[in-house]
Amino acid sequence: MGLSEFISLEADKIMSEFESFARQQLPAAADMDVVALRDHARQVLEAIALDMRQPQSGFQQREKSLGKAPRVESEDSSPAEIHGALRAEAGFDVNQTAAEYRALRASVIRLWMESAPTLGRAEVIELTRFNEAMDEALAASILHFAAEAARMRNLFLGVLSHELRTPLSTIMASGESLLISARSGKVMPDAAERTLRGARRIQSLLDDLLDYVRSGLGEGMRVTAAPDDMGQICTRVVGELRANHPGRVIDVRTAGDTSCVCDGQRVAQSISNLLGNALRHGARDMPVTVKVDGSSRDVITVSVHNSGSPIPEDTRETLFEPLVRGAGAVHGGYNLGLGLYVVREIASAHGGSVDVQSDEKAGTVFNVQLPRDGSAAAVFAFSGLRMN
Amino acid sequence: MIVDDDRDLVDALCELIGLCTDWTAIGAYGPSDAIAQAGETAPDAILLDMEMEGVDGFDTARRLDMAAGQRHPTLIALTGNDRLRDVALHDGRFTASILKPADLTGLLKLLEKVSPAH
Repeated sequence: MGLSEFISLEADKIMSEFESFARQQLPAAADMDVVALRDHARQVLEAIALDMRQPQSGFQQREKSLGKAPRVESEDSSPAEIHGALRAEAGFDVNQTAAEYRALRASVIRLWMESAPTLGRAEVIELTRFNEAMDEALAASILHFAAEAARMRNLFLGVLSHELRTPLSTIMASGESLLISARSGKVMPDAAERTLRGARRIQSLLDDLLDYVRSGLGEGMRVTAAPDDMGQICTRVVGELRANHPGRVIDVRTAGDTSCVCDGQRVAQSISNLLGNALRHGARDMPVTVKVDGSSRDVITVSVHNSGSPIPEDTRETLFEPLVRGAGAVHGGYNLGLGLYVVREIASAHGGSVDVQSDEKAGTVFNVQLPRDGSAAAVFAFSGLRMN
Repeated sequence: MIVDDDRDLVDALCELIGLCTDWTAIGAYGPSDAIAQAGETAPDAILLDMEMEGVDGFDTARRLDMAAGQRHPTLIALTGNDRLRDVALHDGRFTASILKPADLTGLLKLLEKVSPAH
């Protein structure tokens, strides 16, 4: 059986072989649902099989080998182009995107060879054409991967600068006020407080940005787990935020045993991010509540609740993504998403998780669940040497 | 009237305008608050943040103008997004469009021009 015919007939088998390979090899693929992973690979493969059946002259072959093959003029992107852009969006890196093609190629050739084809001149030509088409698809995919990644980076920088501009405005206006009042000997503690809050907001945006950049470089979030007390961590964070937000009510409630093993600084950072969001987006005249639930043996849960209008349904899914398509288009506080991305990274670095519930009646609550014994965080426990 | 969903910025701008102009500045912390206040006080000028909690600033501008009734207030767009600043600049509704951070001298000059009454 010829290779293109084999691909068409055995598409299901090739796909399941490819899928198991991809799942083993590609960490980001593990998060991708089966249909999304399989669909695009299948379309890429179908396009390749189709291309192999088109007659090709020696001239066309040379052109293709030089990467000069004419691109079919069409409104629609090729499956390979869509593949590249989607992978950028799904948080794949360029190696993982290329590795999918390696997996696909290996799966096809291995299964074809297993079918014991007669290997004559025609088969060698077909194999060559298969490889050419594969390379062409790979190149198209990578090109679009790069373009999409650049687009997302630009969008991200735009949103970031926008997020920084509001607290900067507050600092500048309050600074002017302080200057004017100082000339007349007046004291304006409110303006001074606003200045500090604005500066802290910028600082926390930059801290989150740094974590995001580090995690994007493949270093992951580092946590150094040590025995601590979740109740005390939360009380400390709330104390700081109360000082920065006079006039706002922040309650802390604890239940059960709140002792745990975690990275106290990192956990404090994530609670602080959640509280900052709750204070910014929640109803002003209602308290923000932090609950620490230590009643379960293995898991400790921290919930941060605020009243007020719920998070729109369509932004909820992408809330924890650093920046995905759509999330940046909706401007309205939750857009940057870096703060929540960092919250999720800190939770996963501890082997825990974070989720959100939000509706008109009950308000919005973020729940962070961490394993109490910190054992899942132990992988990184010795990566940073701490002098205590 | 200063409208932004960032309270600190609203308070800071109100205070500053109160300190160095004859204007009486009032603050609104969100679109619905702003529309309610515009109906009650009919402000001469409104400095409007274009991106509040997912609400379209151009729509808010239209509703503010309606709420203020016959005394059409001077609308000034305020935004941290340079592209949106340009869009607002070319939108007939807005007299001016300012990119955050608003610089004080520019803002005061603008306010002088806005209302000869002040």
